[in-house]
Amino acid sequence: MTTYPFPFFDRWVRQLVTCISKYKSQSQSPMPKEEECYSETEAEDPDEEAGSRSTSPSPIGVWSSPPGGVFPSATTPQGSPTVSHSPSSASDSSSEGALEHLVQGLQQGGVSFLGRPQFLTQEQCRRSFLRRARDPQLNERAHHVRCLQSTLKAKLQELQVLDEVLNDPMLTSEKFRRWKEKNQELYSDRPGGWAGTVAEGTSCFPTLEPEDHTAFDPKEHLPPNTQCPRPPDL
Amino acid sequence: MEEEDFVPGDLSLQERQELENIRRRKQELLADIQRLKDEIAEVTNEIESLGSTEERKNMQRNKQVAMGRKKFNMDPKKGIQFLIENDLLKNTCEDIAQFLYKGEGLNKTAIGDYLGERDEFNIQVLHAFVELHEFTDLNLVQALRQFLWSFRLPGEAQKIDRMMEAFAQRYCQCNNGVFQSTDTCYVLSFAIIMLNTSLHNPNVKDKPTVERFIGMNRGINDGGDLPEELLRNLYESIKNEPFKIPEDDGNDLTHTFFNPDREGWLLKLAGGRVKTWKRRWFILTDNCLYYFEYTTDKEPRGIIPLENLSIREVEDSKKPNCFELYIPDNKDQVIKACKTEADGRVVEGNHTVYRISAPTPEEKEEWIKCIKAAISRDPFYEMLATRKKKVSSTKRH
Repeated sequence: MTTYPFPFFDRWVRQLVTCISKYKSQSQSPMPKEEECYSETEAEDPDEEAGSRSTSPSPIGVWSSPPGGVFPSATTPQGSPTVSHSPSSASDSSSEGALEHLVQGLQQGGVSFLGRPQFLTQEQCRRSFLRRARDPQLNERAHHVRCLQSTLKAKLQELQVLDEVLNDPMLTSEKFRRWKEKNQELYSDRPGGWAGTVAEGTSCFPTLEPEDHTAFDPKEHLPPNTQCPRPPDL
Repeated sequence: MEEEDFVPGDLSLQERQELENIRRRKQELLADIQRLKDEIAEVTNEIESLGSTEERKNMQRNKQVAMGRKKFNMDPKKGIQFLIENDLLKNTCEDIAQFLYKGEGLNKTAIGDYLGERDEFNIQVLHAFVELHEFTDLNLVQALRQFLWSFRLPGEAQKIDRMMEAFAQRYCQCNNGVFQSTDTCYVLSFAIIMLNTSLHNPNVKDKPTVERFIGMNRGINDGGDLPEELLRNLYESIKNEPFKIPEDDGNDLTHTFFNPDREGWLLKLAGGRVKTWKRRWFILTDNCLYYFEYTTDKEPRGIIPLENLSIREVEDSKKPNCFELYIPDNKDQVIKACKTEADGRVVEGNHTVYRISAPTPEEKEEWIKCIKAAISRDPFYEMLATRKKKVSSTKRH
């Protein structure tokens, strides 16, 4: 068998073969080990890995869509029975099969039962997000409102967290420390962080050691407008 | 420090200083929040007054009706509220149903959205709306043509189910004896809609024949078959003339504005050689999870289409309140970021699992609930199969 230079090819071969032979296992997949669980949408580097990948020429061009379709048969993610799995008597099975066939045809075409395009790829989802209206002015405003509302929500949430200690008449040193710890995890990762430019891992919450002179200063570091080079979004 | 500021007893001087910083931060936040609210109101006003000739009518009433329609098209609930408040519409389900049925100046997507809502009142309006349709002596295809043109069917399975159930009931009410049960009518309606898509949508390669159409509907008349001639007629009708269905022409205002199912900060395990947790602003909307570095970013940093994904809670050694998004059945399958190109090529996806940590257990629960609801947005095939089984096996011994 020909080997292909790209590492994920084997996975794809397996997937297509799987679909062709109408793989319909309902077995519970074993919990993946922690080390295997990570998403690759974000690289360590500013370059968006996913973005660069989508622009590279697809090496899978050689494969044509197998007759069974590349998508698994209609199934709800929770593993409940699919159309094909419903127990049916012999005389029903042909009509069930015909219905399933119809459904599969729609899925292969990437459309819903009404004929609307389904969002299958990241790219389609991205486009749907970015283009809310044909009129560019309106589109711009829609996004503006969205940003404002998300930001408002974030600030209200932050306010709630602050009020946890500010409104606590029984606040003790211990409670305060725990609150700081809990929210340090939340906030130290934030671009900018609570205390300004804080590298991940260093404590931006001062400890109780007497020699530590840094006071906790929750000045929000606002997202830079133009300074920070944004990775190109493809 | 103001007099009314409470200073808890056992804090060190340093801690009190920190608390003071936090108070200052709160004041900043309150100012930010007010500013944001003002700006949102301002931009919303701008949007609502984006000109159209309707608004230049002289009479106050006409202006209000036009405004009401415009509001409806952006947010049906608000539009109806506005019209009721201005005495342009009565707050009864019959009146509102009439308003929607007439549909003058109304966007069909908005009508569909309103009729599909789960609220008790909306359901009553749906039934009143359906009652306004006269299906007597129409065959099923004719009835569907009329029904599906009167509003745009939403995408969510639950909504579709409610609306098609109402349709089926009304059809059977108007045409007694054609079908043994409402379920039969329901199942056949879907078969017809899917037939329409299969026959007329260029993306669907496999075009069903009339024999196959007849075959797939065996036994749906409560265990028995429907007359072949009936099915043939329905098939021919669709073949000769596709459904006319209201579509989004890009000028639909109803889904222009974001109305996310949920949004908030979450930690995401990001990969590569060294795995780190990154804090991202997540937005769940349109059956997709988008995430951003800042809330003010116009474009998402990453996108997770939710179709065909599963979600489960997990324990993580480093972070609390974790859950994962994964593909069920085969853990080697990639999370879908794939599609079949027109010439049959498959373009790749590239992730195995997304691991996410929420700030509190409550938030974790809420996120899981919302994501599950979004994932199961299209299990209507499952619903359809259940109903079909029901009608096919009704007369079984």
